[in-house]
Amino acid sequence: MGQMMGSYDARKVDLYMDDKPTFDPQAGFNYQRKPREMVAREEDLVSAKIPVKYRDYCAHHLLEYQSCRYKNMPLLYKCAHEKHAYLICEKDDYVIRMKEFERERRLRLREKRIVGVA
Amino acid sequence: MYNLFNSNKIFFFILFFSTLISISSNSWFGCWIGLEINLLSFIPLISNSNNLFSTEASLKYFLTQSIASLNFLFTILIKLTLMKNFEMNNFLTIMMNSSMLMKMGSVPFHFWFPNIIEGLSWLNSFILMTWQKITPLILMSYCMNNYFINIIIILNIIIGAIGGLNQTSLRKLMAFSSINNLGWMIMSISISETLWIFYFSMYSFMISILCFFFYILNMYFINQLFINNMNFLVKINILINFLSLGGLPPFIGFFPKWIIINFLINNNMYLMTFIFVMMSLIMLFFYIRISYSAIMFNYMKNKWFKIYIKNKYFLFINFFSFFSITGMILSTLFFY
Amino acid sequence: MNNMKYSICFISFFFLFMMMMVNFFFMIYFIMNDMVILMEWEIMSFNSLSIVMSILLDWMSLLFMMFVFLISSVVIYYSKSYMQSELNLSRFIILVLLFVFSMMLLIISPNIISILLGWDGLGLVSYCLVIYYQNLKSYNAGMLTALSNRVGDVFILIVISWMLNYGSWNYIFYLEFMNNDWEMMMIGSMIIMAAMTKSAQIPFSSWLPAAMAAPTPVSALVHSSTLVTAGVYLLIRFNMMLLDMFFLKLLLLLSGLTMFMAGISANYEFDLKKIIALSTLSQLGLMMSILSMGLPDLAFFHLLTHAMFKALLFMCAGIIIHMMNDIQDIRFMGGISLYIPLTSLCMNISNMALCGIPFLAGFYSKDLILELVSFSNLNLMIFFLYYLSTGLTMFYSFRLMMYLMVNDFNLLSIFNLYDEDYIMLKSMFVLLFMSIISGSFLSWMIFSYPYMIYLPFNLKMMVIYVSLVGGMLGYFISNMKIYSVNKFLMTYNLSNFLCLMWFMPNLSTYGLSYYFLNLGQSLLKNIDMGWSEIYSGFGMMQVMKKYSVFYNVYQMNNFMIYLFSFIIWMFILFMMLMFNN
Repeated sequence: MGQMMGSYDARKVDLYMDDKPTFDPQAGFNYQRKPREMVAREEDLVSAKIPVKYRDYCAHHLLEYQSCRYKNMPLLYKCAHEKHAYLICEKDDYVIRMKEFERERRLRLREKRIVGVA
Repeated sequence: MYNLFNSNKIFFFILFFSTLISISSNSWFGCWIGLEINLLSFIPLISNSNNLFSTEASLKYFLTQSIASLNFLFTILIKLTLMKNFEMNNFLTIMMNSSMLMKMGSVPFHFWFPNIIEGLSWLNSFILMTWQKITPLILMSYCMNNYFINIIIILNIIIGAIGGLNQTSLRKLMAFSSINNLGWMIMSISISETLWIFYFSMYSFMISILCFFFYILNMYFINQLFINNMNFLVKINILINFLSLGGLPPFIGFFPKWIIINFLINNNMYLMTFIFVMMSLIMLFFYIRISYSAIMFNYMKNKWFKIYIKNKYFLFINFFSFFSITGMILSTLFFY
Repeated sequence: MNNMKYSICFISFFFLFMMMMVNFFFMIYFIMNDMVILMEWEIMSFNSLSIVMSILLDWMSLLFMMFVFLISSVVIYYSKSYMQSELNLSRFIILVLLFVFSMMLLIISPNIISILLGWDGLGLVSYCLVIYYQNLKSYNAGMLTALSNRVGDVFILIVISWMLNYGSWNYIFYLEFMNNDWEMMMIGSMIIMAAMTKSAQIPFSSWLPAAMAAPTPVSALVHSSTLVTAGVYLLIRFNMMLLDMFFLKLLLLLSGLTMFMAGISANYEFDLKKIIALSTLSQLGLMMSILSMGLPDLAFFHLLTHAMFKALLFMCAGIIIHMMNDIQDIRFMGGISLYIPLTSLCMNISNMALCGIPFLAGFYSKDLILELVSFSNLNLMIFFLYYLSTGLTMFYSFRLMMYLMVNDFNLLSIFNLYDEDYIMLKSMFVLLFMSIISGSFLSWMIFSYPYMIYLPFNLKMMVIYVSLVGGMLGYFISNMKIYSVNKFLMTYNLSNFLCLMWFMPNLSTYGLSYYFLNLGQSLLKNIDMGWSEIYSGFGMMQVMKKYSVFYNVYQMNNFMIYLFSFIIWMFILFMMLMFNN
């Protein structure tokens, strides 16, 4: 519910949750942005049988957490650090995605303004 | 009765032939001749007893029928002279139809019919209700005006049903039922003649059983049905025949009505179907009322001699009632 | 029989406890190695239909079985002392064991037929248990319980017949693949309806407070953790299939309303067991609603933790009722914390766990649920239902605690409240331990893939705000003194609506028989013997008679008029003929 409060005008630019960015990633930045890359390897993820929807950019922390769980079962309170690292990574990923969405939205609004003037 | 019958034999013979003359003539005059002979031969049949009722009845019958056939003759002559015998105009058709309706005792000219039938014996009333309708119906079917006839049919059926509700005399009851069935018969003759023959034969079969029954037991009023101590099976006979006349399904009286309703619905004449069926229900109501009282009041059952019927004519009645019950099922063996 | 060294209670307690330990170890092994075992025995197979008996053991069923065994063993041990004056104790214990067996059958079955066996068994045995005290109130309550559960059985039977389309009744295999079939949509809607009857959601929720006529150990086992969660468990199993159906949204609305309604009604109740029953109903609504948001793990988690502290709550209520000489009205109680400290300890801890006080059992599940609910897509009404119900939970829990623990004892002037019944206390301590530990333990164990939650500050604190407000309201409303003015009659209709559970008990009992019979009688009197007689039966006959009499006037008339009218008619026709030619 929190993320919906500011999105009342997302529909003005016809932008939805799953849309990929359509503008140039470098536009408007004065430093070089590097693209995100996966740290965990594909075969590691497959052999650990992690479900597909969790194989995102934070999967290496997830692999650490899973191996810690297996080692320390059933005393799972010992895995708190790995879990915290994973959740921090997920939060950063969420923030990055939110910022990308907002960037896309503002660029589209700007484009509408420019096209409207011209 | 035997001596009466001997002296009436020739009049029955002439009555029979008059109808045939009327039907099979190829000129309108021949029809008129047949009608007149019909009238002349029926009058002696009616007026052949010594009480005032039948005399009065015969006089009234003579008056009405002669006026009707006079009008028929007038219509024929007008057609001959004005139209030069080529066509039947609308109004001429209605004139001819009206005179035929008066001959038959159909609404709106039916007021003589219950009056007269009150004065006749059962056999004479049987002839009046069945045989005397043949000639006018067939003559009417030679040219019919459909709009006029539709109204007449509906009126017939309604008057027959409503007028019969308040009667206690059996002959008047049969007269109103005859008026009602006349409506069905006019409808059937406007459909096809074969259908009318079928309806007419069924109807006269049912009426014959009832008239014969009442003649045997010498009953003229409704209270005679349940005052006397007939045993139960005789009253069942009344029940069966009345219900058959009213058109209740397993009995044979349902069959002709069914075919006519079938035709009506196939030709989308729904209002007429509705009126037919509703008034049929009312007729059935007072038949059931009669037969219900006949069975329920004075229910007599002897312990020592269970079937006490002294009259040998009951054999006929039972035989014909058998056909009344199983007629519909047996007819499928014939017609399939 | 009574002075046997090992009574049936002890034997069954021991057996069930051993089963629980076995399940516990297996559960940990299964979670560790991510194993699922499915054992099948094919009984017979026709042309395209195969009847199999299967047992599915994965971590969810083992965990649930462990909890059910734990609670039932503790409850049986508890009832050794609670029901000690009962003559037929063996009968009672055997009924409870039958119940546990039916629940097992329900939990481990991946096909609909054995679910039906378990489901029907649950309904039937809970009926036998509810009518255990054979008085009139128990009979009525039992009838309401059994018939409401029976409606759910009918839905499952319909599901069985719909699943004939698929060749076998193992729904586990069809959940993800046959998602878009029309038959699956029917099956899904029927399953949702069945779960709604069993878990007492809004149209069917009148049986749960009525079933409190059962003995308290039965309530602790049946109506807190096992029977009413059978519906939730079924929906958890089916959740793969139900995820994008319309009926799931309907379930969200109805369960949210159940949550809300039960929370409000519990504030008006003065019967101890009914308050606890309504709080069970509220938590069930919470479980169902989080399930219909698409988060089955959380529903399962809340199911388990709720089982712990609710069973504990019922058992404490049992001790209190025993002590008050079988009076259940909370207005007669007060200040019992001074006299029975251990029981009131258990009561307070379970109450606080229910409210979601941080770091007890209920906090982990409830807080996680509410945060995830705020994190996802909601509309304002569901949001309000969730948070208001949380506040109401706090409200009635505080009210209950104020009525029970604080001020003076209201029953008699001379009393002795006796707490040293160690059998009951020992069983309660097991559950107490579990109700403190199990929240954190389960939250580490179950969630292999943790949930990330990112909320604004106020939304995260919303839970605490709502709880604080609820607590304060609970404090204020229990300060009823002998001279306080009762303004109840000013809002008479609204109060009746709110406190009588939105009239659902009336609808489920009177509404099915009495109102219809009344309607039938009024229809008979007014229409069958009234207006339709005028318009079709008797009245028609009168009309026809009138017409006939009227006609007869015309019939009996002068003869010459008839003939003359005929002549005139002919004359008219002739004239028209002449004029047209």
